[in-house]
Amino acid sequence: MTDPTLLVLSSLADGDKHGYAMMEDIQRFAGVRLGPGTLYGAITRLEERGWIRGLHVSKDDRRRPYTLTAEGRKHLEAEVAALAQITRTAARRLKTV
Amino acid sequence: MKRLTRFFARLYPASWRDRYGDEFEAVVDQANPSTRDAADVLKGAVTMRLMTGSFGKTLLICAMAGAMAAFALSFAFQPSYQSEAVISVTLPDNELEKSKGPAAANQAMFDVIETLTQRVLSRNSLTRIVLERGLYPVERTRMPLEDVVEMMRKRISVRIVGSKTSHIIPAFTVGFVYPDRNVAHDVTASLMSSFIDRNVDTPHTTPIRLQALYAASLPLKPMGFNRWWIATGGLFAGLLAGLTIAFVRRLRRQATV
Repeated sequence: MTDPTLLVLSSLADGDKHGYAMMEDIQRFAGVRLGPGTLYGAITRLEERGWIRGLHVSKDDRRRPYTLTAEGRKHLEAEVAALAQITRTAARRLKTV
Repeated sequence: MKRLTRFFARLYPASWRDRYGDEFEAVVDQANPSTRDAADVLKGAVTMRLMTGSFGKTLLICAMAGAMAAFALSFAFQPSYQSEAVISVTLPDNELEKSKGPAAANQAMFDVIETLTQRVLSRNSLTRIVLERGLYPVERTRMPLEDVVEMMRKRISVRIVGSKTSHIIPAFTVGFVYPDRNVAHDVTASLMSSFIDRNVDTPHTTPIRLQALYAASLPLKPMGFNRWWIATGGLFAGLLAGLTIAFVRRLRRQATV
């Protein structure tokens, strides 16, 4: 899973968001500013895989919110578990040096 | 920058814009894009075209991009031009009679040429040429003059024409390679004159006669440098890249099925 896709999934894990809201949220929690091209590249890939789904757009608002699907949540959980294992191992090894 | 970013957004494939175009524009409007964002959108558009286009289109785009990039890159390289002059070498008739045969006479002439070469291409002589003609202006700001002179010496060729053991009285060529064709010509002409003049001034065990046979050439084409060949190389590299992208795209599609 590439970094932008992980960031988008993490952003949607606590609720539905449209594109710009994701950008701001990711900047807040990860300190990373995704450009619109990178963001929508990730959204396109995630939607193709069925890990996120675009919701209905109202007539007055061009912004489309996205939601995390059950499949997407499952993959995010697996990825987080793998990263946590790596982080724990690295922290333990740094302490022993 | 917003206008430029919106323009780049229109470079996304039509099918993608049908699905994401409106919301993408909304994000661009809200994000107040910087130069980096504009570049990011352009990169996204190119990537999306490559990853969703047909096989033929992908190859065509990559081949054209490769050719154009290679052609543009060729202007970053300096072509080199080689000028050459030919100097004939003969023994005066009385010396030929004195010699112990043609082979010995040729050997004596080659020895004289070697001595003259060392003098003409001495550090002092070449330093004078470099300074008088203002050669290698950029290199002289970056490295010691003696290194520049050594670099120049490597670009000078002195080649004997004819065999040491044959009965053919030899000639030899003097050549110089430089990025400017006129300078290559002028320096070669100067080196040729140096050989002839120093031969007169230098006492030899076996005196020889040097004469200009062919004057220094004015090179018309650079050595081994052809922008169109470079562009063709870029085209094939682009085709290879296109095939790789098409293969990766296929793998990704199979992974999502």
